[in-house]
Amino acid sequence: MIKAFITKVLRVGTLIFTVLLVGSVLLQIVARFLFPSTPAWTEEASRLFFIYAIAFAAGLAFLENEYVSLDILFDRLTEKGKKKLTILIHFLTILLFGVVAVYSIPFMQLGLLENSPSMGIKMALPFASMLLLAATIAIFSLLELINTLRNPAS
Amino acid sequence: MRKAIIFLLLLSVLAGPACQQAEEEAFVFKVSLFVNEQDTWFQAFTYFDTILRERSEGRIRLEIYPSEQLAKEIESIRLIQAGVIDMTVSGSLLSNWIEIATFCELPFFLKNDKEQAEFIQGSVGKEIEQAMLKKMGLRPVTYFIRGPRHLTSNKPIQSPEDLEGLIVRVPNVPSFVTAWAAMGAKPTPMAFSEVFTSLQQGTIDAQENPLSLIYQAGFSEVQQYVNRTEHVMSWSYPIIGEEQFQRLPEELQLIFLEAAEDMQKYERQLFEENESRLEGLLKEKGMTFIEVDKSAFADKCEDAIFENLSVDMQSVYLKVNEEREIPSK
Repeated sequence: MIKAFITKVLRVGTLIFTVLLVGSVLLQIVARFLFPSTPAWTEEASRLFFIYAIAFAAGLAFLENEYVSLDILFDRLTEKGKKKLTILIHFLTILLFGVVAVYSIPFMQLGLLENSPSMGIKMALPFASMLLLAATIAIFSLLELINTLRNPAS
Repeated sequence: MRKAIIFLLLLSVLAGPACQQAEEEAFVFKVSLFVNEQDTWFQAFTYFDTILRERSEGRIRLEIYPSEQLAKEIESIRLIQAGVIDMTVSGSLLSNWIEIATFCELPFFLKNDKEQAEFIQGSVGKEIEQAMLKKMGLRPVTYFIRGPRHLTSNKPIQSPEDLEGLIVRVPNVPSFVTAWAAMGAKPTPMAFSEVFTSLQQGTIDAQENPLSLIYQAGFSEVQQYVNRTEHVMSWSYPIIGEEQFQRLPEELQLIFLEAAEDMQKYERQLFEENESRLEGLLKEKGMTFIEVDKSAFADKCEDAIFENLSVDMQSVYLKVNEEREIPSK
Protein backbone atom coordinates (compact mmCIF):
# COMPACT_ATOMS: atom_id res chain seq x y z
CA MET A 1 0.00 0.00 0.00
CA ILE A 2 2.53 2.56 1.20
CA LYS A 3 4.97 1.37 -1.42
CA ALA A 4 2.40 1.77 -4.22
CA PHE A 5 1.59 5.29 -3.08
CA ILE A 6 5.24 6.42 -2.79
CA THR A 7 6.01 4.86 -6.17
CA LYS A 8 3.18 6.77 -7.77
CA VAL A 9 4.28 10.09 -6.25
CA LEU A 10 7.86 9.47 -7.39
CA ARG A 11 6.78 8.60 -10.92
CA VAL A 12 4.69 11.75 -11.27
CA GLY A 13 7.49 13.85 -9.75
CA THR A 14 10.11 12.45 -12.12
CA LEU A 15 7.88 13.11 -15.11
CA ILE A 16 7.02 16.69 -14.10
CA PHE A 17 10.61 17.69 -13.38
CA THR A 18 11.98 16.07 -16.55
CA VAL A 19 9.45 17.98 -18.65
CA LEU A 20 10.31 21.21 -16.79
CA LEU A 21 14.03 20.56 -17.34
CA VAL A 22 13.63 20.09 -21.09
CA GLY A 23 11.31 23.10 -21.25
CA SER A 24 13.65 25.50 -19.45
CA VAL A 25 16.68 24.46 -21.53
CA LEU A 26 14.65 24.80 -24.76
CA LEU A 27 13.47 28.25 -23.70
CA GLN A 28 17.07 29.34 -23.11
CA ILE A 29 18.22 28.07 -26.52
CA VAL A 30 15.29 29.60 -28.39
CA ALA A 31 15.68 32.93 -26.54
CA ARG A 32 19.41 33.06 -27.23
CA PHE A 33 18.85 33.15 -31.00
CA LEU A 34 15.36 34.51 -31.53
CA PHE A 35 14.40 36.85 -28.70
CA PRO A 36 15.93 40.28 -28.08
CA SER A 37 16.98 39.26 -24.54
CA THR A 38 17.37 35.96 -22.75
CA PRO A 39 15.78 35.19 -19.39
CA ALA A 40 18.49 34.99 -16.71
CA TRP A 41 16.74 32.45 -14.52
CA THR A 42 16.77 29.47 -16.92
CA GLU A 43 20.32 28.36 -16.13
CA GLU A 44 19.50 28.14 -12.45
CA ALA A 45 16.03 26.70 -12.95
CA SER A 46 17.29 23.93 -15.23
CA ARG A 47 19.80 22.89 -12.58
CA LEU A 48 17.08 22.77 -9.93
CA PHE A 49 14.78 20.73 -12.20
CA PHE A 50 17.59 18.33 -13.08
CA ILE A 51 18.43 17.74 -9.43
CA TYR A 52 14.79 17.08 -8.57
CA ALA A 53 14.27 14.80 -11.57
CA ILE A 54 17.17 12.68 -10.26
CA ALA A 55 16.02 12.88 -6.64
CA PHE A 56 12.56 11.60 -7.58
CA ALA A 57 13.96 8.90 -9.87
CA ALA A 58 16.64 7.59 -7.49
CA GLY A 59 14.22 5.58 -5.35
CA LEU A 60 12.47 4.15 -8.42
CA ALA A 61 15.77 3.09 -9.95
CA PHE A 62 16.58 1.30 -6.72
CA LEU A 63 13.23 -0.47 -6.71
CA GLU A 64 13.63 -1.68 -10.29
CA ASN A 65 17.24 -2.75 -9.74
CA GLU A 66 18.57 -0.33 -12.32
CA TYR A 67 21.81 0.52 -10.52
CA VAL A 68 25.14 -0.83 -11.70
CA SER A 69 26.08 -3.98 -9.86
CA LEU A 70 29.03 -6.37 -10.03
CA ASP A 71 27.84 -9.97 -10.06
CA ILE A 72 31.18 -11.84 -10.28
CA LEU A 73 31.07 -12.75 -6.61
CA PHE A 74 27.28 -12.89 -6.31
CA ASP A 75 26.83 -15.52 -9.07
CA ARG A 76 29.34 -17.88 -7.50
CA LEU A 77 27.56 -18.02 -4.16
CA THR A 78 25.07 -20.68 -3.10
CA GLU A 79 21.41 -19.73 -2.71
CA LYS A 80 21.95 -19.34 1.01
CA GLY A 81 25.02 -17.19 0.48
CA LYS A 82 23.19 -14.99 -2.01
CA LYS A 83 20.46 -14.34 0.50
CA LYS A 84 22.93 -13.46 3.24
CA LEU A 85 24.76 -11.07 0.93
CA THR A 86 21.49 -9.44 -0.16
CA ILE A 87 20.53 -8.87 3.48
CA LEU A 88 23.95 -7.37 4.18
CA ILE A 89 23.68 -5.07 1.16
CA HIS A 90 20.23 -3.87 2.20
CA PHE A 91 21.41 -3.32 5.73
CA LEU A 92 24.37 -1.21 4.60
CA THR A 93 22.18 0.72 2.16
CA ILE A 94 19.74 1.59 4.94
CA LEU A 95 22.63 2.65 7.15
CA LEU A 96 24.26 4.87 4.50
CA PHE A 97 21.12 6.58 3.26
CA GLY A 98 19.73 6.83 6.79
CA VAL A 99 22.80 8.83 7.81
CA VAL A 100 22.54 11.01 4.69
CA ALA A 101 18.82 11.61 5.33
CA VAL A 102 19.35 12.60 8.96
CA TYR A 103 22.24 14.97 8.18
CA SER A 104 20.43 16.53 5.22
CA ILE A 105 18.16 18.22 7.76
CA PRO A 106 20.85 20.47 9.33
CA PHE A 107 22.09 21.04 5.77
CA MET A 108 18.62 22.32 4.84
CA GLN A 109 18.68 24.60 7.88
CA LEU A 110 21.93 26.15 6.61
CA GLY A 111 20.11 26.73 3.32
CA LEU A 112 17.43 28.84 5.01
CA LEU A 113 19.92 31.73 5.29
CA GLU A 114 21.05 31.51 1.68
CA ASN A 115 19.21 32.77 -1.41
CA SER A 116 19.83 31.70 -4.98
CA PRO A 117 21.25 34.54 -7.14
CA SER A 118 18.76 34.84 -9.98
CA MET A 119 15.50 33.26 -8.82
CA GLY A 120 15.95 34.39 -5.23
CA ILE A 121 14.56 31.18 -3.75
CA LYS A 122 15.79 29.84 -0.41
CA MET A 123 18.58 27.34 -1.04
CA ALA A 124 16.88 25.06 1.48
CA LEU A 125 14.55 24.10 -1.39
CA PRO A 126 17.23 22.56 -3.64
CA PHE A 127 18.94 21.12 -0.54
CA ALA A 128 15.70 19.32 0.36
CA SER A 129 16.27 17.06 -2.66
CA MET A 130 18.97 15.31 -0.60
CA LEU A 131 16.40 14.34 1.98
CA LEU A 132 13.97 13.12 -0.70
CA LEU A 133 16.64 11.04 -2.43
CA ALA A 134 18.13 9.51 0.71
CA ALA A 135 14.82 8.90 2.49
CA THR A 136 13.15 7.14 -0.46
CA ILE A 137 16.12 4.84 -1.05
CA ALA A 138 16.34 4.05 2.68
CA ILE A 139 12.60 3.30 2.87
CA PHE A 140 12.60 1.09 -0.23
CA SER A 141 15.68 -0.73 1.03
CA LEU A 142 13.95 -1.34 4.35
CA LEU A 143 10.86 -2.73 2.58
CA GLU A 144 13.04 -5.00 0.43
CA LEU A 145 14.90 -6.19 3.53
CA ILE A 146 11.63 -7.09 5.29
CA ASN A 147 10.51 -8.85 2.14
CA THR A 148 13.70 -10.91 1.90
CA LEU A 149 13.52 -11.90 5.56
CA ARG A 150 9.89 -12.96 5.29
CA ASN A 151 10.27 -15.10 2.17
CA PRO A 152 12.57 -18.01 2.85
CA ALA A 153 11.81 -19.40 -0.63
CA SER A 154 13.24 -16.60 -2.73
CA MET B 1 61.20 -12.24 21.78
CA ARG B 2 57.65 -12.24 22.97
CA LYS B 3 58.41 -9.78 25.71
CA ALA B 4 60.06 -7.50 23.24
CA ILE B 5 56.93 -7.49 21.05
CA ILE B 6 54.70 -6.76 24.02
CA PHE B 7 57.03 -3.98 25.06
CA LEU B 8 56.90 -2.45 21.57
CA LEU B 9 53.12 -2.68 21.51
CA LEU B 10 52.86 -1.00 24.89
CA LEU B 11 55.26 1.69 23.79
CA SER B 12 53.20 2.47 20.70
CA VAL B 13 49.99 2.63 22.74
CA LEU B 14 51.57 4.97 25.25
CA ALA B 15 53.33 7.07 22.65
CA GLY B 16 50.13 7.58 20.67
CA PRO B 17 48.36 9.88 23.16
CA ALA B 18 51.63 11.64 23.98
CA CYS B 19 52.03 12.66 20.35
CA GLN B 20 48.45 13.83 20.22
CA GLN B 21 48.96 16.08 23.20
CA ALA B 22 51.82 17.83 21.49
CA GLU B 23 49.59 18.23 18.41
CA GLU B 24 46.76 19.84 20.36
CA GLU B 25 48.78 22.96 20.83
CA ALA B 26 48.88 23.61 17.09
CA PHE B 27 45.99 25.04 15.11
CA VAL B 28 45.72 23.78 11.55
CA PHE B 29 43.35 25.63 9.25
CA LYS B 30 42.16 24.14 5.97
CA VAL B 31 42.01 26.71 3.18
CA SER B 32 39.96 26.07 0.05
CA LEU B 33 40.81 28.20 -3.01
CA PHE B 34 39.18 28.06 -6.43
CA VAL B 35 42.22 29.61 -8.16
CA ASN B 36 45.17 27.50 -9.33
CA GLU B 37 48.74 27.47 -8.06
CA GLN B 38 49.88 30.19 -10.48
CA ASP B 39 47.40 32.70 -9.11
CA THR B 40 48.46 35.53 -6.81
CA TRP B 41 45.88 34.43 -4.22
CA PHE B 42 47.53 31.06 -3.86
CA GLN B 43 50.97 32.65 -3.60
CA ALA B 44 49.64 35.10 -1.01
CA PHE B 45 48.26 32.28 1.12
CA THR B 46 51.55 30.38 0.89
CA TYR B 47 53.25 33.52 2.20
CA PHE B 48 50.57 33.84 4.92
CA ASP B 49 51.30 30.27 6.01
CA THR B 50 55.06 30.96 6.19
CA ILE B 51 54.74 34.11 8.30
CA LEU B 52 52.10 32.51 10.55
CA ARG B 53 54.38 29.58 11.32
CA GLU B 54 57.27 31.93 12.05
CA ARG B 55 55.40 34.37 14.23
CA SER B 56 53.37 31.80 16.16
CA GLU B 57 56.37 29.47 16.51
CA GLY B 58 54.59 26.74 14.63
CA ARG B 59 51.30 26.98 16.55
CA ILE B 60 49.25 28.11 13.55
CA ARG B 61 49.56 26.30 10.26
CA LEU B 62 47.59 26.37 7.03
CA GLU B 63 46.75 23.53 4.70
CA ILE B 64 46.07 25.14 1.33
CA TYR B 65 44.03 23.36 -1.35
CA PRO B 66 43.98 25.25 -4.69
CA SER B 67 42.00 24.60 -7.92
CA GLU B 68 38.70 23.67 -6.22
CA GLN B 69 40.22 20.45 -4.86
CA LEU B 70 38.03 20.64 -1.77
CA ALA B 71 35.02 22.57 -3.04
CA LYS B 72 33.81 25.31 -5.33
CA GLU B 73 33.58 28.83 -3.97
CA ILE B 74 29.95 28.58 -2.83
CA GLU B 75 30.42 25.15 -1.29
CA SER B 76 33.54 26.36 0.53
CA ILE B 77 31.38 28.94 2.31
CA ARG B 78 28.82 26.30 3.28
CA LEU B 79 31.60 23.98 4.48
CA ILE B 80 33.09 26.72 6.67
CA GLN B 81 29.66 27.34 8.20
CA ALA B 82 29.30 23.62 8.83
CA GLY B 83 32.77 23.57 10.44
CA VAL B 84 34.32 21.14 7.96
CA ILE B 85 36.95 23.54 6.58
CA ASP B 86 38.17 26.87 7.93
CA MET B 87 39.10 29.46 5.31
CA THR B 88 38.40 30.58 1.76
CA VAL B 89 38.27 33.73 -0.37
CA SER B 90 34.93 35.10 -1.51
CA GLY B 91 33.28 38.33 -2.62
CA SER B 92 30.13 39.17 -4.51
CA LEU B 93 28.90 35.59 -4.13
CA LEU B 94 28.22 36.47 -0.49
CA SER B 95 25.23 38.50 -1.69
CA ASN B 96 23.30 35.20 -1.67
CA TRP B 97 23.37 35.55 2.11
CA ILE B 98 23.86 39.26 2.70
CA GLU B 99 22.43 41.54 0.05
CA ILE B 100 24.86 44.38 0.68
CA ALA B 101 27.73 42.29 -0.76
CA THR B 102 26.19 43.11 -4.18
CA PHE B 103 28.43 46.19 -4.14
CA CYS B 104 31.56 44.02 -4.34
CA GLU B 105 30.82 43.55 -8.04
CA LEU B 106 28.43 46.17 -9.33
CA PRO B 107 29.03 47.28 -12.96
CA PHE B 108 30.16 50.92 -13.38
CA PHE B 109 29.77 51.63 -9.69
CA LEU B 110 33.43 52.29 -8.83
CA LYS B 111 35.49 53.96 -11.51
CA ASN B 112 39.09 53.65 -10.33
CA ASP B 113 41.42 52.21 -7.70
CA LYS B 114 41.08 55.23 -5.47
CA GLU B 115 37.28 55.10 -5.34
CA GLN B 116 37.50 51.40 -4.70
CA ALA B 117 39.91 51.72 -1.77
CA GLU B 118 37.80 54.49 -0.26
CA PHE B 119 34.65 52.45 -0.61
CA ILE B 120 36.09 49.30 0.98
CA GLN B 121 37.45 51.24 3.94
CA GLY B 122 34.39 53.50 4.14
CA SER B 123 31.10 53.07 5.99
CA VAL B 124 29.51 50.67 3.49
CA GLY B 125 32.65 48.55 3.42
CA LYS B 126 32.45 48.29 7.21
CA GLU B 127 28.77 47.40 6.95
CA ILE B 128 29.61 44.52 4.58
CA GLU B 129 32.20 43.20 7.02
CA GLN B 130 29.79 43.47 9.96
CA ALA B 131 27.06 41.67 8.02
CA MET B 132 29.44 38.80 7.23
CA LEU B 133 30.39 38.47 10.87
CA LYS B 134 26.90 38.85 12.37
CA LYS B 135 24.68 37.14 9.80
CA MET B 136 26.98 34.50 8.33
CA GLY B 137 29.47 33.74 11.12
CA LEU B 138 32.40 34.53 8.81
CA ARG B 139 35.22 36.89 9.69
CA PRO B 140 36.86 38.81 6.83
CA VAL B 141 40.55 39.17 7.72
CA THR B 142 41.55 41.49 4.87
CA TYR B 143 40.68 42.03 1.20
CA PHE B 144 42.21 41.30 -2.22
CA ILE B 145 41.28 43.37 -5.24
CA ARG B 146 40.67 41.66 -8.58
CA GLY B 147 41.72 43.14 -11.90
CA PRO B 148 39.02 45.15 -13.67
CA ARG B 149 36.85 43.16 -16.08
CA HIS B 150 37.22 43.68 -19.83
CA LEU B 151 35.09 42.55 -22.75
CA THR B 152 36.74 40.22 -25.25
CA SER B 153 35.29 39.78 -28.76
CA ASN B 154 36.09 39.07 -32.40
CA LYS B 155 35.27 42.57 -33.60
CA PRO B 156 36.45 45.79 -31.99
CA ILE B 157 33.89 47.30 -29.61
CA GLN B 158 34.45 51.00 -29.08
CA SER B 159 31.04 52.33 -28.26
CA PRO B 160 27.70 50.84 -27.14
CA GLU B 161 26.44 50.89 -30.77
CA ASP B 162 28.96 48.14 -31.63
CA LEU B 163 27.25 45.84 -29.12
CA GLU B 164 24.04 45.59 -31.17
CA GLY B 165 22.99 41.93 -31.32
CA LEU B 166 26.27 40.68 -29.80
CA ILE B 167 25.75 37.60 -27.62
CA VAL B 168 27.81 38.18 -24.48
CA ARG B 169 28.33 35.49 -21.90
CA VAL B 170 27.93 36.77 -18.34
CA PRO B 171 28.18 34.96 -14.99
CA ASN B 172 24.93 34.20 -13.23
CA VAL B 173 24.80 37.64 -11.59
CA PRO B 174 21.55 39.61 -12.11
CA SER B 175 23.22 43.07 -12.23
CA PHE B 176 25.50 41.85 -15.07
CA VAL B 177 22.54 40.71 -17.13
CA THR B 178 20.78 44.04 -16.56
CA ALA B 179 23.89 46.06 -17.41
CA TRP B 180 24.68 44.32 -20.70
CA ALA B 181 21.06 44.31 -21.81
CA ALA B 182 20.88 48.07 -21.15
CA MET B 183 24.08 48.65 -23.13
CA GLY B 184 22.51 46.94 -26.14
CA ALA B 185 24.07 43.47 -26.11
CA LYS B 186 22.35 40.10 -25.61
CA PRO B 187 23.65 38.81 -22.28
CA THR B 188 23.52 35.05 -21.75
CA PRO B 189 24.26 33.56 -18.33
CA MET B 190 26.50 30.52 -18.65
CA ALA B 191 28.83 28.50 -16.41
CA PHE B 192 32.48 29.52 -16.80
CA SER B 193 33.59 26.01 -17.72
CA GLU B 194 31.44 26.10 -20.88
CA VAL B 195 32.66 29.46 -22.17
CA PHE B 196 35.67 28.31 -24.21
CA THR B 197 33.75 25.73 -26.24
CA SER B 198 30.82 28.09 -26.72
CA LEU B 199 33.12 30.77 -28.14
CA GLN B 200 34.69 28.19 -30.43
CA GLN B 201 31.34 26.97 -31.70
CA GLY B 202 29.79 30.41 -32.03
CA THR B 203 27.07 29.89 -29.41
CA ILE B 204 28.27 33.16 -27.91
CA ASP B 205 30.25 35.99 -29.54
CA ALA B 206 31.91 37.61 -26.57
CA GLN B 207 32.65 37.26 -22.87
CA GLU B 208 33.96 39.51 -20.11
CA ASN B 209 36.52 38.76 -17.38
CA PRO B 210 39.66 40.15 -15.72
CA LEU B 211 42.91 39.80 -17.71
CA SER B 212 44.19 37.03 -15.44
CA LEU B 213 41.23 34.78 -16.24
CA ILE B 214 41.30 35.64 -19.94
CA TYR B 215 44.90 34.45 -19.95
CA GLN B 216 44.45 31.38 -17.75
CA ALA B 217 41.43 30.15 -19.72
CA GLY B 218 43.27 30.55 -23.05
CA PHE B 219 40.60 32.81 -24.58
CA SER B 220 43.30 34.28 -26.85
CA GLU B 221 42.79 31.18 -29.00
CA VAL B 222 39.16 32.05 -29.72
CA GLN B 223 38.96 35.83 -29.30
CA GLN B 224 40.90 38.58 -31.10
CA TYR B 225 40.19 41.74 -29.15
CA VAL B 226 40.35 42.88 -25.55
CA ASN B 227 38.14 45.96 -25.29
CA ARG B 228 39.21 47.95 -22.24
CA THR B 229 35.75 48.45 -20.79
CA GLU B 230 36.85 48.14 -17.13
CA HIS B 231 33.17 47.83 -16.37
CA VAL B 232 33.54 46.13 -12.99
CA MET B 233 36.03 46.85 -10.21
CA SER B 234 35.64 43.97 -7.81
CA TRP B 235 37.34 42.59 -4.74
CA SER B 236 37.13 39.57 -2.47
CA TYR B 237 37.65 38.86 1.19
CA PRO B 238 39.87 36.14 2.63
CA ILE B 239 37.60 34.79 5.35
CA ILE B 240 37.81 32.47 8.33
CA GLY B 241 34.89 30.92 10.19
CA GLU B 242 34.23 32.98 13.33
CA GLU B 243 33.87 29.84 15.46
CA GLN B 244 37.24 28.58 14.23
CA PHE B 245 38.80 32.01 14.82
CA GLN B 246 37.53 32.18 18.41
CA ARG B 247 39.28 28.88 19.18
CA LEU B 248 42.59 30.74 18.98
CA PRO B 249 43.93 32.23 22.21
CA GLU B 250 43.95 36.02 22.20
CA GLU B 251 47.66 36.49 21.46
CA LEU B 252 47.38 34.18 18.45
CA GLN B 253 44.33 36.07 17.18
CA LEU B 254 46.42 39.24 17.11
CA ILE B 255 49.25 37.50 15.29
CA PHE B 256 46.75 36.09 12.81
CA LEU B 257 45.13 39.43 11.97
CA GLU B 258 48.47 41.21 11.68
CA ALA B 259 49.83 38.53 9.39
CA ALA B 260 46.68 38.88 7.26
CA GLU B 261 47.45 42.57 6.76
CA ASP B 262 50.96 41.68 5.61
CA MET B 263 49.53 39.06 3.27
CA GLN B 264 47.37 41.76 1.70
CA LYS B 265 50.38 44.01 1.05
CA TYR B 266 52.27 41.09 -0.43
CA GLU B 267 49.36 40.12 -2.67
CA ARG B 268 48.85 43.70 -3.82
CA GLN B 269 52.43 43.89 -4.99
CA LEU B 270 52.20 40.56 -6.84
CA PHE B 271 48.89 41.64 -8.35
CA GLU B 272 50.28 44.86 -9.76
CA GLU B 273 53.33 43.15 -11.25
CA ASN B 274 51.09 40.49 -12.70
CA GLU B 275 48.57 42.87 -14.24
CA SER B 276 51.23 44.72 -16.26
CA ARG B 277 52.85 41.43 -17.32
CA LEU B 278 49.50 39.95 -18.44
CA GLU B 279 48.90 42.62 -21.05
CA GLY B 280 52.21 41.79 -22.71
CA LEU B 281 51.49 38.06 -22.57
CA LEU B 282 48.07 38.47 -24.18
CA LYS B 283 49.51 40.69 -26.91
CA GLU B 284 52.14 38.02 -27.56
CA LYS B 285 49.32 35.54 -28.04
CA GLY B 286 47.90 37.78 -30.74
CA MET B 287 45.22 39.76 -28.94
CA THR B 288 44.68 43.42 -29.79
CA PHE B 289 43.77 45.91 -27.06
CA ILE B 290 41.06 48.43 -27.96
CA GLU B 291 40.52 51.71 -26.12
CA VAL B 292 36.82 52.35 -25.51
CA ASP B 293 34.62 55.28 -24.58
CA LYS B 294 33.93 54.10 -21.01
CA SER B 295 31.57 56.91 -20.09
CA ALA B 296 29.32 56.13 -23.08
CA PHE B 297 28.89 52.58 -21.79
CA ALA B 298 28.32 53.79 -18.23
CA ASP B 299 25.68 56.34 -19.28
CA LYS B 300 23.71 53.65 -21.05
CA CYS B 301 23.31 51.34 -18.09
CA GLU B 302 23.65 53.28 -14.85
CA ASP B 303 19.92 53.89 -14.51
CA ALA B 304 19.04 50.31 -15.36
CA ILE B 305 21.47 48.96 -12.75
CA PHE B 306 20.03 51.29 -10.14
CA GLU B 307 16.44 50.29 -11.00
CA ASN B 308 17.39 46.64 -10.67
CA LEU B 309 18.54 47.03 -7.05
CA SER B 310 16.17 46.40 -4.17
CA VAL B 311 14.85 49.44 -2.26
CA ASP B 312 17.31 48.93 0.61
CA MET B 313 20.27 48.72 -1.76
CA GLN B 314 19.08 51.78 -3.70
CA SER B 315 19.29 53.86 -0.55
CA VAL B 316 22.82 52.60 0.11
CA TYR B 317 23.75 53.45 -3.50
CA LEU B 318 22.42 56.99 -3.13
CA LYS B 319 24.16 57.44 0.20
CA VAL B 320 27.52 56.41 -1.30
CA ASN B 321 27.10 58.79 -4.23
CA GLU B 322 26.21 61.65 -1.91
CA GLU B 323 29.27 61.04 0.27
CA ARG B 324 31.46 60.96 -2.81
CA GLU B 325 30.18 64.28 -4.08
CA ILE B 326 30.74 66.28 -0.91
CA PRO B 327 34.55 66.54 -1.14
CA SER B 328 34.45 67.49 -4.84
CA LYS B 329 32.13 70.44 -4.26
